[in-house]
Amino acid sequence: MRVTLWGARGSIPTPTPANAGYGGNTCCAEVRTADGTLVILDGGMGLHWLGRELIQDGFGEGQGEAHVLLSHTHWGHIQGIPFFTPLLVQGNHFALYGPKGSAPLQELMQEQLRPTYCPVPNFFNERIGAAIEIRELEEGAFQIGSARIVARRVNHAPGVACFAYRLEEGPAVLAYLPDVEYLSKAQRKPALELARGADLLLHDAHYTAAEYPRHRGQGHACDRDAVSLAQEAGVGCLVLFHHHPDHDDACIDAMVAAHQGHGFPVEGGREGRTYTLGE
Amino acid sequence: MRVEFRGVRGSFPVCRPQCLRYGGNTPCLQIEAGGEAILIDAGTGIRAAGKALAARGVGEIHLLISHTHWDHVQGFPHFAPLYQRDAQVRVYSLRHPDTPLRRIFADQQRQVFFPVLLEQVPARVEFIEVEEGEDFAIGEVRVRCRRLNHPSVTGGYRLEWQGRVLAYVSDVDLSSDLVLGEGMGADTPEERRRCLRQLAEAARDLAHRADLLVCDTFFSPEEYDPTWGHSRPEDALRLAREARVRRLALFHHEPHRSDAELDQVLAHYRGQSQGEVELLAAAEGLVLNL
Repeated sequence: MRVTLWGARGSIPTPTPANAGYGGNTCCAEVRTADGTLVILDGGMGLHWLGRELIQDGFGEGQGEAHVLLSHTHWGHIQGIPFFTPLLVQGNHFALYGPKGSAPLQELMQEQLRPTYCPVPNFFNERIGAAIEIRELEEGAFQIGSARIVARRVNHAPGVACFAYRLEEGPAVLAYLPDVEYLSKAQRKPALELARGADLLLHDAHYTAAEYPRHRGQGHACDRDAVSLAQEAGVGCLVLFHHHPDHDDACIDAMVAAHQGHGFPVEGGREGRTYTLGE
Repeated sequence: MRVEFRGVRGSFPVCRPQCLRYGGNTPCLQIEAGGEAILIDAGTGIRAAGKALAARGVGEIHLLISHTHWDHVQGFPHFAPLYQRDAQVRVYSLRHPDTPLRRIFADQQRQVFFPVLLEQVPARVEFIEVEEGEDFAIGEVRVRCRRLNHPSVTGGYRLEWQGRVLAYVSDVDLSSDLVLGEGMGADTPEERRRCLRQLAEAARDLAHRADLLVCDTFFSPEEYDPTWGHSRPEDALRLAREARVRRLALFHHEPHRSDAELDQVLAHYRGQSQGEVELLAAAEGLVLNL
């Protein structure tokens, strides 16, 4: 399994030189399984740049197929979708998965493309562009190609359903927990199950431990929560993810430096970084 | 009148090393005139403007919205003064035929999309729907909004203070023979021609003898598509000449245009402007005093 990060920023894209090292694009990760299946985790602004690459390779000719797993529908996880050009090409096939929530996923996708907000063609209208199948998920496990996916509800913000995912393929395990806050032991339990023994854990570290007390209850974790979960779950590598828009490269470097010596590497999520798991 | 470019990129925010000099934030201009804090558009550039205003404790802020496409409103929920109890934010835009302006902004902050509802923010937020061509005042600053040729409901702005004029003409197609806006009533060829004449006249009216014209130059001539609602540098130059503008800022840069490419565009069109108009390319952080 190969995992490439296209966006590791939280909330809003931050095009500023001080953030250029880790990158300013909002959440998106590309996962290639051994059988060639493409799974895309979240559709933040990084999705546009992944799309530019996919267009060169099958998706430009309408021969592409991909599975997009959304953790939830906050802007930083879906704002790249209108600018993901493979959706404009007829013949491509997409399955878009997200948690079943208060509003139908189809409606939320349409809403983002309303002409009031967005001049691009509405490809969630079935007559335009790629075929898109929307699948609303309940908690549980399902198969995509050779990968087994486990979806669990996690605590995030009010009024939105938020999932975290575990992707297993043979011995390779990826855990994706981009937006999560643990206000109780019970809330930590599903996260721990998803992360158990993972080779790679991408975990929300929106706040520093020093900032967190002022933001308790706002739906995000800090670096210390991520490290403690990674330790207990026995992960191979922890990547701090969903960087706060105001956390520049120096701030993330300092967070990473503070967490060495736990017996597993801790890194800051960096655009363009690729991880190979299970080899 | 002090004008600071906080976001100059079109379509979506661009986080790439090769675009950082001109900048990747979507449109926002921060203006100070006659003691008033005025912003034009709420792209991601408004985040930095908001922090600066909040740090200075500015209580009353006027935000002029050209239109409500994502790249012109997406920064609004991240605007620091919204989260200050003593702040007052007045948002102005042309009236939409079906949807109240407040609703368009409130929908962006539905909890399924953003954690804080518009009605929960501590600041006082007021929405003011303006009529095309009707002048209004922000303190001593006279403001005019005119409809532009771009999909949805789009307006450009002219700001005048003590004889200084800023014209903001973005987003716009200055040369298309299609009427692109919503509810323009251009069903017959005659109506369409009349409508296009009015739109061209509106752009000239906004830009007339402006000290600075900030104009949509999204397209290169090779890329130009008459259905999108964007202009080329030659269209902006033509408007600047016709309206006898002093300085023209190329603006709303195409998201894939690198700094090096923008340098070339600027050099090329400086050669064509023949000294009649002072030409520059809008860059994040650039401050101009008119």
